[in-house]
Amino acid sequence: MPRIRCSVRGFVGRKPFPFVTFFIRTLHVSKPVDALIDTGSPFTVLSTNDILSTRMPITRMQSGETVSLAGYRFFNHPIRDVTMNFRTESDELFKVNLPTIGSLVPTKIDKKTMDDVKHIPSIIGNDFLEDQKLALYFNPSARVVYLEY
Amino acid sequence: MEDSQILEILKKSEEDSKWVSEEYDKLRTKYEGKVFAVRNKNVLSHADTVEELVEKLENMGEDVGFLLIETVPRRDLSFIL
Repeated sequence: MPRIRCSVRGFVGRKPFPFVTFFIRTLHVSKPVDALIDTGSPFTVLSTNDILSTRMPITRMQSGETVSLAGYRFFNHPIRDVTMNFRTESDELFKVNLPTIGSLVPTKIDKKTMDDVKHIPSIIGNDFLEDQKLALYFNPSARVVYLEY
Repeated sequence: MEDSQILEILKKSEEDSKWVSEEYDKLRTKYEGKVFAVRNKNVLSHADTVEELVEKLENMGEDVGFLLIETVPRRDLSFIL
């Protein structure tokens, strides 16, 4: 079965976590993104940092449903008409078109909050794996990780 | 943008991402708590915030849309996601 290569990163407390790189395209944004694959997350979201790096005005994006993550509250602001591109092991593109993707906009924007949430990565959640029929293989001790479809 | 261009960007970004993962401990020593941009297995620039970093990169004439932006959390910061 085709695979998407991922990487293992000692992200927090040097514990290994699975990450995948994809290229996101919207009407206004094109950029590579490193995302944590988190099977415990019901949502796929772009991090506050990834939004800020595109100069999107987060103060005008503080609306919509709120979600709690890592002890912080965020608006899960939808970004519309998104294409996510992944590279397969056979050097082809695995493209996913989505009507929207969430983005993590802190409900409180102050120096302390922004200094902490800048380290929360973009997340590929359970919703994405299920909808795209992707399986995650992750062997942390052997440092082997890939997505299979 | 052509698929071949996206594939090329992805290939380079994956290599840079892998480099960040492999060099994470060394990068933490140097850039703990910072935000930094990576290209060709090098830290191109770093700053305390992503806004400052983007401004620096733009002043350098870099297109942020082709760069991986990474962070290394402080040692005393942990998350349960």
